[in-house]
Amino acid sequence: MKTLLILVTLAAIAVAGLMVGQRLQQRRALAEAAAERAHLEAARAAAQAKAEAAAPASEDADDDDDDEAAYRDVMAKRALTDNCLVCHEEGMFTGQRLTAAQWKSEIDKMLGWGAVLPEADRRPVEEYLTRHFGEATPVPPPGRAHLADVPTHEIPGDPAEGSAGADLASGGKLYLVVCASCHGPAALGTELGPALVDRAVLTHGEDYHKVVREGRRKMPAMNSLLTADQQRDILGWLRGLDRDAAGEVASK
Amino acid sequence: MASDLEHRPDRFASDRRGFLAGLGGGLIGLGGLGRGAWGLARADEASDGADRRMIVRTERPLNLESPSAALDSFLTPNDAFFVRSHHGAPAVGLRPWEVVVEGLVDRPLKLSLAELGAMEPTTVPAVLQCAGNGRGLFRPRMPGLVWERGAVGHAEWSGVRLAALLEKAGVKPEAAHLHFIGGDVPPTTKAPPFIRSIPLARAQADDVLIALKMNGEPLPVLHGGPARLVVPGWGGNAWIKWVRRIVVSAEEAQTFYMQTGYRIPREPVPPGQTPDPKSLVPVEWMNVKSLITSPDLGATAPLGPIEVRGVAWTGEGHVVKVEVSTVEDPTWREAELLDEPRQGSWRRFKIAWTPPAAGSYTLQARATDSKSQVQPEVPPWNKSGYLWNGYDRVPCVVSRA
Repeated sequence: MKTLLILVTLAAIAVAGLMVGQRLQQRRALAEAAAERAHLEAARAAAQAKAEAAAPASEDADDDDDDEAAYRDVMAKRALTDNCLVCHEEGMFTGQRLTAAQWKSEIDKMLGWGAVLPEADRRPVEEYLTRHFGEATPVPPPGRAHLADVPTHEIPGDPAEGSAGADLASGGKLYLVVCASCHGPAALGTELGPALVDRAVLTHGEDYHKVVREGRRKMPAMNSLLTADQQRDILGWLRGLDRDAAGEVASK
Repeated sequence: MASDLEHRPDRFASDRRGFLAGLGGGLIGLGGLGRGAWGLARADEASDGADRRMIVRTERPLNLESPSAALDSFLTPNDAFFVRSHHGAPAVGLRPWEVVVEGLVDRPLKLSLAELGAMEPTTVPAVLQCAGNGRGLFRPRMPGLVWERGAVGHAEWSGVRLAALLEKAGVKPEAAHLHFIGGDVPPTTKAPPFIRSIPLARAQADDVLIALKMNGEPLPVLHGGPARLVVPGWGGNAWIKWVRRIVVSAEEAQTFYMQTGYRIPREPVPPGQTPDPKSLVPVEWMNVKSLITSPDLGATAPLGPIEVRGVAWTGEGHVVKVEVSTVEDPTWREAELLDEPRQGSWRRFKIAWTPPAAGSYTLQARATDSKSQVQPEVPPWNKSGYLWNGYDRVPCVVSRA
């Protein structure tokens, strides 16, 4: 009976979290889209005005095509940034040179692995990748760096930094309300947000806190929702989360 | 930055003096690997103008390739060693690391690093090469990280023989495969975890380790620390990083990275063709290969004798011959081989080359192993771009003296 009560409470908390998370995300996405549209419209209008002023009438059609292509590029790149760079950075595709069929099959593979790409964005993204990273495009020289200068979380930091004095019970409850809707109840990731349990960023408290405070791509800034202490509590809880136990909870 | 990744100016030399110092050493046979012989300064390292910075393939997950100039020594320094994983390193340090052995065993084990460290240590020098090293050289191209020449390195790995762990656990008669579950976490629950298996017979060989050290230092997390599998002679796909659980089983792992990834056709297929999945086998033994480490790609040297140096390795057996020529004059000449022939390890080679005149040349090298396998000019194409071992080619410019 007691267990049932706890389960019901947890479920209610999770649902509330889901709603809060989704609304925050929607609001941010809408605002972003509006800003992007305004920016694009301005650029498009300027380009058109310039073209009309300078070009003879016969070239109008070409300019329109160029504008259209540029617009599609911007939108496709945005879809890639929003949806693909959750799990990896753009070097994963900018270094490759593939045919249209190969890019399509890579996207299919990623969708199977939990990537989310709205149906309307699929063709534009395939075309964008083929246009810019097709077989005929020359490959620029890769980046070079000494290991010590490579920005990465994969070299462990201090696993205690930034969570001293954390209230783990409070962190766990807050996680379910605020974070679980995107990162999953056991922090193993969902289509909306990547896994957090045992991820290297957990040993870099400062970077973790920066993302939570300021948001990143689709993730909303949490500063208005969570106090610094609450953010610390959640980090403390995540650091103590046992992945095997978390996985068992998730599979029940 | 972890201290084990800092520069060790006193230790490794990738310059000519380091190379020469290794000549007389017969280093491998000496147990301690003649470590003292490596106490060479790096003061003149940059004097040849070679760029030894890592080649960044992707930052997240971190995938770094070694420039060939950084591979110009018997052991590759840890901070110049290529880095590769599918899901990125896990958080290490949040709780004590443990290695579990379970499944078809009489006595399941759960061992701390201290317990593993207290077992009898074994040290093996071995080449670690990504199965996809050279993918970027295949045509037609295929999806995947565009490794060219440097997803390979040679280190001295120390740890516990896997066979000793298995003896301790008591393997049941029906056991045939070992599944390795690494600590890296896929970004979503739909992305496949990096789980692969190796046959029990290979796991029980004397040279297979759970390594805890690399070149005498605690195994860096970027290279699979605190504990990784070492399978000398096999592709890096078998060298599971961040080993947390070993499950003894009657069957191969039925996972993506075992059943779909890291498979090649048993018989070569025409370029561009996707073979029947049933005709594919897991990538296991590497093939014979050489790499020119000096001169550097595109280097300029004055007319006169030039020392051509490199390294060569194979999977089963050892390298018995390396030949060098140029594309302009493809008359092969046999290079001098250094270092002891030893399965899993690489051997350095060197040869003096005197260009006939100033101009542009492309040096090329090919190796032959003890099973009479010869490095081909271009290897058979396969749809995932595994096991490239075509002639290694280095363009260079010879200027008037």
